[in-house]
Formats: sequence, C-alpha cells, structure tokens
Amino acid sequence: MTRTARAGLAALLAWGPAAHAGQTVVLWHAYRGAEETALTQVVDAYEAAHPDVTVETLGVPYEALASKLTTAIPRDNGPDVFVFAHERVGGWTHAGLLRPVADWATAPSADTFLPASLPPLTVDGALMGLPLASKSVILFRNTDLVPEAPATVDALVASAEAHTGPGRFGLAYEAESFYFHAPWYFGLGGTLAAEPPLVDFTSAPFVDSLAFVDGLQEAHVMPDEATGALVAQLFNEGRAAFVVSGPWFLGEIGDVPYALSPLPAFPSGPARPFMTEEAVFVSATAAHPDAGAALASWLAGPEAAVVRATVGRQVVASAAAWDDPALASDPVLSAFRDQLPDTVPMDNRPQMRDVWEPAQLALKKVLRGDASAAEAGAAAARRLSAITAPTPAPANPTPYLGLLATAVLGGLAVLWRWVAGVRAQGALGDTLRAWTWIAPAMAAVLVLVFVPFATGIGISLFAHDEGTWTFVGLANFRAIVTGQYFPLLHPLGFVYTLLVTVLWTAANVVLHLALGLFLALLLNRKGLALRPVYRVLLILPWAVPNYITALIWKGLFHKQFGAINGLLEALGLQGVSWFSSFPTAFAANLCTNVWLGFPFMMVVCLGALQAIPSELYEAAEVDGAGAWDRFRHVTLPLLQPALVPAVLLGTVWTFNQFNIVYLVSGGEPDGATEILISEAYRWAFTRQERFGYAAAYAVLIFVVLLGWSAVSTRLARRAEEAAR
Amino acid sequence: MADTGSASVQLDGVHKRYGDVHVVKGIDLDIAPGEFVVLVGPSGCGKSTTLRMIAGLEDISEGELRIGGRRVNETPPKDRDIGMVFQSYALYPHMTVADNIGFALKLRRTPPADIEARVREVAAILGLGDLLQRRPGQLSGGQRQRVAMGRAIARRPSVFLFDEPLSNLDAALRVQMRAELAALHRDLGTTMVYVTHDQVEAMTLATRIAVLHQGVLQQVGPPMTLFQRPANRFVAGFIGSPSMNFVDGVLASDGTGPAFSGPSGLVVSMTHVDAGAMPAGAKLTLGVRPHDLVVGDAGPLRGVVRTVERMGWEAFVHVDVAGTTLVARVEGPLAARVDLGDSLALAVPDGVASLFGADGVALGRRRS
Amino acid sequence: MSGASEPVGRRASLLATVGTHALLVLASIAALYPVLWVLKIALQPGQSFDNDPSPFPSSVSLEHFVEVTSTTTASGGWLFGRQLFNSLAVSGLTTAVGLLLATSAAYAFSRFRFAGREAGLTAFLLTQIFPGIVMLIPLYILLDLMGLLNALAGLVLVYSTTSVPFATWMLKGYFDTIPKELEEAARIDGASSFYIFSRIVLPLARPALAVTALFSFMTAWNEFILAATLMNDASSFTLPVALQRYVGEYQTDWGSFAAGAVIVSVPVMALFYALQRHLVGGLTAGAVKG
Repeated sequence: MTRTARAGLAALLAWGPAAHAGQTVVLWHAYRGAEETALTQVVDAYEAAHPDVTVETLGVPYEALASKLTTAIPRDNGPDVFVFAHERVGGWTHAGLLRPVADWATAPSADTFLPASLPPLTVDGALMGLPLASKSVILFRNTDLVPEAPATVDALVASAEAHTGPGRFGLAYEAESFYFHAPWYFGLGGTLAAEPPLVDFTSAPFVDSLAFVDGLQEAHVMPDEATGALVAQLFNEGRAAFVVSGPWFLGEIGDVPYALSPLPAFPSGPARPFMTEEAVFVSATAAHPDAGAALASWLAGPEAAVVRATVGRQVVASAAAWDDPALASDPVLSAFRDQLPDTVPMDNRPQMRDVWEPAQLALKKVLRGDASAAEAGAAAARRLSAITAPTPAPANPTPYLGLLATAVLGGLAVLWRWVAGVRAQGALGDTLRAWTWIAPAMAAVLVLVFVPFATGIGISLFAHDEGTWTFVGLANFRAIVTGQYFPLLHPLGFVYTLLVTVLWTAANVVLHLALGLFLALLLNRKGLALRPVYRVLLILPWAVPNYITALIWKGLFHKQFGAINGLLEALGLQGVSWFSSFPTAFAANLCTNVWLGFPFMMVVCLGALQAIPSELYEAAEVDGAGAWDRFRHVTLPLLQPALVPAVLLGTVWTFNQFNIVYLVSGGEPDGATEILISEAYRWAFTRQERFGYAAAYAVLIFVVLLGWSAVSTRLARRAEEAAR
Repeated sequence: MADTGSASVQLDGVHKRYGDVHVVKGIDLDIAPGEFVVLVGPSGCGKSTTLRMIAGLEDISEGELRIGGRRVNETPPKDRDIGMVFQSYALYPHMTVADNIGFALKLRRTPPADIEARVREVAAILGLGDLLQRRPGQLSGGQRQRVAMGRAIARRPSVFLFDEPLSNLDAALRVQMRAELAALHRDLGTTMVYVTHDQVEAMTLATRIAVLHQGVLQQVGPPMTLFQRPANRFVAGFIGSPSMNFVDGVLASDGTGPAFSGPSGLVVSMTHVDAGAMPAGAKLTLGVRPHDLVVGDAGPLRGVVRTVERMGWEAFVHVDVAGTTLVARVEGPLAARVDLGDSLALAVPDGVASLFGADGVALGRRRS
Repeated sequence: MSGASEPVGRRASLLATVGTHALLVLASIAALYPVLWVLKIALQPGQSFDNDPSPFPSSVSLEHFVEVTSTTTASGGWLFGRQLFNSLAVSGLTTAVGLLLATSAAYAFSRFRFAGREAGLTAFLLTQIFPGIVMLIPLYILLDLMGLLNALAGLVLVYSTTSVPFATWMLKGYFDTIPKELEEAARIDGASSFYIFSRIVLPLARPALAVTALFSFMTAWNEFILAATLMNDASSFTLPVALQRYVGEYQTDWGSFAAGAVIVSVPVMALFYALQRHLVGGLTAGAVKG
C-alpha cells in the first residue's frame, strides 16, 4: 500500500514529461514472455556491470512499436536504442531514422555473426543494425503420431492425409497468412524480385503454390480459418499431426511429445520459409548515442546471446555463442539454425509490406473456394498494383496559396464586419461578457480539435512517401472520386465503400431506434415489476468499453471457438464462417454495434416517454384510439423532439464507428465490409503510410456528413413546423 | 411591521425595444409611497415588461425610472430595494422553505440568528409556521404562493412587485389570496405594483389601476373612475364583467343637447356629454354597461333572447336587437323566468351611457 | 407496442404482463450473455477459449486476475498499480477539467443572447462530425510542440477537450429547462452572477452534471489509440493501453485480456449503476419541479 502511495506521489511530482537525466538509456522492444525475461536479465547484467548507466525499457506490441518509432524518432522523442525485425530497415534508413553501425561500432568480421544474419540488415552496402536472432518457421510434428520426419512434401502430404479424420487434421498452420505460405511459394521456384513488385502473383510458382494449398484444403487436411490459437490447441490436444510455426510456438506446446525438422522438399527444391532478422538499432536522434551504442553492442554480443538463447529460446545470431555447449547440444535451437541456409530473408525495402495484403487476399479466395488459383493470383496482382500506385506528380502550390490567402483575408473581413456590427448595436459589452464564459472551452476546442483538423485538411493536399511530403494539390481527391486505384464500385472503391457505410449507418440507426424504443415502451409500462433490475441489465452493454465489446464479439463469432457457432451446433445446425461472406460479416458487425448502441436510444426514449402526460393517453383512449393509434398519434409525435437530435448524433457516431468495423470483421471478406473511416485508417497506417490519401478520405467523410446534417436538420425543422 | 419603509416609483417616458420590436412605448406613471397600483391589460400589452423594467430584470431602452426619487435605470435589481413575486413563484427547489425565505437575508450577510427570527416572523404572518423545513416540491399551490410572498416580505423592501401571482391558483384560493394580499398591503403599507390580466383582481386590489394596451398607457385612475368614466373604448371594454355593450351610430340632437342616434330608431339623450364642435352626423359609438340597461316589456329596443347566463339572483341575457347583440342584467323573479326565445324590450336611461368618437376616445362629460 | 399507453389505475391483462416479462427477460439475456462470457474466460484457467456456449465457467481460478494485476516495472515497482493510478488520475482530471469548461460555456449558451452564439453552437456541433483518426498525427505534433508528449497532462488536455462539445450541448439542453425566474428571483434577492450559477443553477443541474461527468469519464477511461501513440513509457500507460498488450497481432492471451477487460469495465459499470437514476432524466433534460 505504501508503495502505491509512493508511486502516486511520484506520478504527481513527475507530472511533466519524463526527463532522461544523465546516463539513462532508453530501450524499446516488442518482446514478450520468455524473450522479454531474457532481455530483462541481459539488461540487468549490463546495468550491474555499468553502475553509471540506467536502462529504461519499454515493451510495446509489435505493430504499435513500428508506428511509435516512425512518429517519435523524427521529433526527438524516440528511444536511444530499439529492437525490431529487419523488415523496415530499408524504409527507416531512407527516412533517416537509423544510425549506421559504422558510426557506433567496429565493423563485425565475417565470422562474428551467422552468415545469414547480416545481409538483411544491409542497405545500399551499409550495415544498419547488429543482428540479435533469426526467426523462421519450421515443421513441428507430434512424435506419438509421426515418429519420423518426412523428407519430401509428398511424404508430408501422404502422412498428413493418413492422420486426417473427423476433428483431426494432418497439418495445421495459419494458411491464410503469406508468411506461413511462403515456404511453398519459394519451394516451388518463387523468388523475391530485385525491383518492385517483389512478388509476381501471376507467375507460375505463386499460382502453383495456391493450387498446392487448394489441394490440401480439398483433402480436408487443414482446419478452416486457422489462427495461432487454434493451431496450438489442435496440436496440444493431439488432433494435429504436423504444425508449421516458428520459435514462439515452443512456448505454447503443452505436454505433447514433439520434434522439429526442416521443412520438406518439393522436387524443385526445399520449401524455404521467410526469415526475419531481429536486430538492435541506434536511433538517429538518440539522446545518448554513445551509451546506447555500448548497450546495443552488448546485447548483440556472445555473452548476452547465450542468455537470450537459453532463457529466451532465441536462435541467436552471435556465432561465438554457439560454442557454448548448452546451445550446441540444444536440438530445438540447432534445428532452426540448421535450416537458416534454406530460408529467404524478407526484403527490407518498404515495398515488402505491399505484398502481404494482396497475397492474403489470394490465399483467402482460394481457401474459401471463391476462385481458382489462377483467378486468385490475378486478383492479388490487381490489388498490388492499386495499393502501390505511384504517388501523384507534384503540383504548383501557388494557386492554392493564393486561394488560401484570399480565404484568410475574406474570413478576416467577415470577422471585422461582424465585430463592427456588434459594436454598432452597442452590444459589445454583453457579447464580451458572454464570451468570457465560453472562451476557455472555445479556446481549448479550437487548439486541440479545429487546428488538428485543419492540419488534416492541409495534409490531404500532400502525398507522403517514406518521410518525404510532396505537394500534389487535389490529386488525392481526384484519385479517390474518379476511382483511379480501384473501380468505384469495387469493394475498395470510394462509391462502394460509401454505399456500405450508408447501409451500415442506416441499418444500425434503425435497429438502435427500433430496439431502444421497443424496450423503453416495455419498461415504461405502469406497475411493471422488477423494472430497476431490467433497466440495469439492459444498460449494461453501454458500460462496457467499446473496443472490449468489439473483441468479445469477434471472439463470439469465431468459426471454431465462437459461442455463437457453439450455440448453432448445440441446436444441431451447421456453424457459419462469419467473416467469409459479405452478408454474414456485415451481420456480425451489425450485431456487435446494435448490442452496444441500443441502450443509449433506450434511455433517451425512456426519458422522453416519462415526460408525456398520461392524460394524453386517456384522452386518446376516450376518443376511441386503440393501442396502435395511441402509439402512432400520441407517443411517436411527442417523442420526436427528443429523438431527432439523438438520431442525428447517432448517425454521425455510427458513420465514423471505427472500432467495431476494424476490430470485428476487419473489413473481411476482402475489404467488402470496410466503411469509409476504417478504409482511411488502412491507407494511413497499414498500407504505405499514405497519410495524404487517408486525409483526403477523411475530408470527404466530413463533406458527406456535413451535407447530410445540413439536409436532415432542415428536414427535421420543416417536419417540426408542419406539425405545429 | 410598521417600520417597513415605502417608496415612490416614477416612470418617465419609459420605452422598451427588442431590436426592431417596440414593446413599451413611452409610459409615464407616478406611484406614490404606499399605493397599490395594478398594471392591467391583455397578454402582450407590455405590462410584464414594464414591471420587469422596474425590477431591473430588463434594461430600459429610453426614459427614466426613479424609485424613492432616485434614478435607478442602471442600478442592479438587488440595490433597488424591491421584492418580487413571480407567476411561477420561482422558489428554489433545492432549498427548504426557511432557506427560501431567508435567502436574500443570507446574501446580505445578516447574522443567522436574525435571519431565523425574521423567517419565523414572516412565516407567522403567512401561516407557514409548520412548513419551514419542507421543500417547495412538497407544498400545495397556495402554500408555494405564500412562500413566494414570504420571500419577498422577508427583506422588508420598500416596493413590492407582483407578476400575475395568483394566476396559477384555482378560483377559490384566488379569492382567498386576494383578500390576504389586500390585508397584507393594509398591514405593511408598502408600495405595491401588481401585474395581472384579470380585471377582477385589478378592481378588488388596486388603489389605482393603470390599463395598458399595445405598449401604451390607456388610463390611470381609481377603479371606480375607470369603471364609470373609461377614457376610451379599450378601457371601457376591458374593465367590467360582463363587458360593456357597444352600439354604432351617429351624433344627433334632441333639442336639449346632443343625442345618440343608433339603429332601429334608437335615440339616447346625451346631455351629460360634451360633444364640443363635433358636427351632427359624426360617427359615434354608444357604450352602455349591462347593468345600466333597463329591461322591461316596453322600450325603444326590442329583441330576442339568445343566451341566458343564470347566476342565481341575477342573470345575464344576450339579446339580439336587429343583428346587434346586447348583454343586459336582470334580477329577481325575471332572472328566474327569462328564457331563450323570449322577446324583451331594452331602454338606455339618460346620463349613464358613454360615447366614443370614431378614434375610440371617450367624449368628455359636461360639468354641471 | 401498447406498452406506454396503458392507462393509470387499471391493471394490465395477465397475458400482457407475462408477454412483457418474457420479452424483457429475453432482451436481458442477450445483453448479459457476452458479459458473462468474458467473465467466464477471465475465471477459467488457460489462454484460449472453446465453443462451449454455456456462459458459466467449468472451473474457477483467479490466475488471470493475479497475472494481470501483478505486472511489475523493470525496477520492480508495481506497474499495474501505477497504470491504474494513471487511468484514474487522467479520467478524474479529464472529467473535472471537461466539466468546468463545458458548464461555463453551456451556461452562457443557454442564458445569454449575444452575437456569435449561433456560430459558436454550430462550431461545437461540427466537431462531432470530424473523423477523429486523421487528427492523430497533427495532435501528436501539437502536443510535442507544447512539450506535453508522454505526459499525463497532455492526455488530460486532449481528452477533456474532445469531450467538451458534446458535454456543452447536453448541459445547455438541461440548463434551458431550468426556469429563468429562479435566476431573476435570485438577482432580486441580491445574488451575483457567479453565485447564481454556482448555488442555484448547478445544484439544480445535478442530474445532467452527473451524466455529463460519466460520459467525460468514460471518454478518458476507455480511450487507447491516442494514449498508445502519445505515451512512451510503460509506467505512464493507462489501463486500456496495458490491456492492448494481451491482444497481439498473431496471438491473443484471451484469459488475461478478459481479466483485464473485467477490471477495466467494472468501474464504469459501477458508475452507471450509481447514476442510472439520473441517466434517464439527465440525458433528456427533464423539467425541474418548483
């Protein structure tokens, strides 16, 4: 308790930004579990050896770490040292976020690290970070089921088919992810091209690899829609003979006898998985570059590597560490190390990241049986060319600046005339007095809401590419509304997404209102017993934070583990693959959002219902109105004044309901359930950081909503006047 | 209670404009200390606005307001030494009755013991003794009304302002509260300015009535003066219940003096009226109160009874005389007997009727 | 649909009563089920879940709660405690600051007639249609310029500001229903503007204030995208950001996540429960009796 109190006090005292005084080195990483434990041990040892240095570590989820680094380092808010996979090294080097190793360490000799570990970290001939460990997938097998490792893919498939039966699968891995699929692609002769596009999705190796998994799927060797959790569960329950996974899988294996072996070979060559090299980097804007460099060198060195290997179960890159008997005799780590020569390092250029989305699209299409291998490959190629469309040509900013200047001057003129008008009316004193009450709120809103939004509008006129901004005028808007990248009615086209968004908004608001009003009417019945109990239970969904709601429902809709399919199966029905078709995925999103949103409408309706005098109902009844007439001619018209603002607000909120769409369906299938705001987010944060393009989307969202609110408020006002 | 001061209130050409809307158009009114002046008029006539300007709740657009001889146009309400009772009572719902009554004293940093004594005193006057710890929400309409008055009294202001204080009460309570208000005025002797649209309240309470119409003061005077000698057609129609009968006609002469010549050969001698230089044949309106009409079997006007309002001893009959409806009061056996369809004769006695010119202004009375 | 129209003083038919309860029970189950399901995962040992539709755990253990609440900092400090404190402090201060700004603005919008009133109200309403996500990067840069990056004060500032427009509209709606005569009476009684605002208007607006406070609190308590972007240090994280840790790109620790979700949701549920009486009136501007 005293510790909490002290922590609280410290927090109050440290109210400002944390200062990195003296020799405090800040280290960011994305490690968890055993790897984090190992890192902590290594860091502790370093601190013990260097009493003048304090290391402050921060663990952030992998994707979040990448975006934090990209935003923080250029503004001097980043760490001194960070650990990350090599896949972003190319982009970060060009954006100037990294300090080349030559600036802070002696060049490693050829035998300091495993030979495979340095090329991935090299950009234009310069080494950008020191390698820590390699990650690649490997073949796990249940030795109770399969004592001997298969040497060829044919043997693997034969063995897998032999171990397939009801509820049992020969081979389990995350087949929808290109990362896990890559061994087949490279094994069948695929390569990463020297120039973008890095993967030719219409090439024979890629199409063949799709056909290969299609065959596995046809034979029911693999579970549908496998996730990491499902793979682990199947393996631990003895229901999966083979698993393709990486070192992280070791920590998830229960008491199942298992062994590792290199991935088997096709006739054309071994199945070669992707390899990522985790490395330690020194930030270009490190506050303590020297202390950081010393720490980085220590982390990559043999002494630390032994700890990382033994405690963190990492396939460490330090060559000297493998002389340690504990490592040399470790069958698991050795298996991974021995496979390294047959791996393909991911390309470290940003174009690598463009590959995942199209490849996954093709895989899902094939695995769902929506398309043939060739068709799926072609679809992937189209998607790739759309998301990698070149940035628009720079535009001449002069006319825009002129326009801006005119707008600013015009705005000032209007303001001046307005002030003069107020003064002429002699109302300046009253106006100033009123504004002093509003000023704090208005100032805060202006600075922290309007200024960022105006900046966002400004950004929409630029194109962002690897840290450089190019002024492109209205090119982003032109590209969106003319369907330059996607045909307008394609699932990622603007018009299609807009229609989905409108459908999404309308369906939600109608259901919120219908359900909310219906329940409010039930709750409002005179003399209803247990009313408080019902009311508390029905408000409950509102009280759950909406991102938690989203993740809960995503779980409920899970094909294998979801309680909803469980319920369907308990009723003797077939489980539904919720996220593989538009109607079901949309329904899942809708269900989630209706669940979390109806209590608000219910409460609004309850409040409004309670304000209707009961004499009116009595009068209507005396006039001969039946229950429906009373609802239609008394309840509804009197609820309208309270409902109109609630519905307006609800519409706007639903239109921009990012969390639900992003977290529940994630746009599946193939981006078909994406709404405008989640689409904008994807362009900004999951594709090539096309902030300008995303901002243009946001501006369009704003324009659509503005138009809608203007029209609807006018309609509402007219209806109100007509009712008078 | 006798130590309560009492101040005069004077309005000098007071105007109120809201933007382009001219609500009060130059009111001149002198209220002497201790007077009970009722501002009366139909809704929207500017009476409430005038009261609110006196209270300081509305700015005065033009003109001057003096309370106790001191110009108070710019004085905030709290420094005008006034107490006000609102139509909705405006009791603070989150305070007890005692706190409501003592609120103003508390704001003036009166010692708590004094406040308590004062609250008890006021509560005793108004019969609120048992209710001091209640909240307004727990009181009946009449009780709330009393608390509202108590709150105004507690500070011993030198002017009381009432904004339609009785209009939310039922008829019986209204009569009772009217009597209590009159008694309160008698006891306190404080200047009271009272706004109502109900001419009965005006007649029963006021020492002087000021009739407003469309932002203009129509007439100011003791109730009976307004009743008997209305300055114009508006006042004539507004004061008195049922309303005065009006008959259109022209100025004639019957030898002895001016006379009114109306429809159906109705001629009424108007010797008590000063027609001045008005030519014969000028358009006029005759005003005669229902109780002044003489009902009998014979008379110059004959008509058919269309409606009968029986009040018990008396009754009001609406008689259709050649298309014009006249209301007359009958009493006694006739009130019980008269029925729809009866034919009645009406006569207008000399010396009781009023005459209004085409502009609605009453013709002056001849001094006798 | 006849619910609200049952006249007073007459008993509804048995059939209608049974039907109402049946529907309400059904709706309550639908509302409750996902919540129970989270509770089940939180209480059941193991990090994955199965498709057993029963909302009750087969075995109960507190291991996930212990795991989630016993995280430590590198120096051995109690990280969870620190993050809980952060969340409480940020949400509490956001509520206080947001309410302070919103009440004063809402009062002026409700009571004064002045030049720019309509424009101001519209501007506040406009903020509700700004797509929030694009403001992430500009906000980051702005807070950096203000030196408030990685500071709880920065979060408080952003959260309270974003909650102000909605809070202002809600409070204005409620203030509009408070009779103006009350304030006039108080002016005559000698109260200053500020005194009227603080002693007459605010006490009467308590239901609306409570509900607005609840919403502001929720804004801050539940937010994680901004917090994850603006905070650079595990000991300055708020609970939702800490919770995000359990939902990985490739793997989700469902047990820990569910336990964390329960911990994060309970305070908000408690507040809802405490304020539910006000919720109905506060949201729809009930009339003040006086």
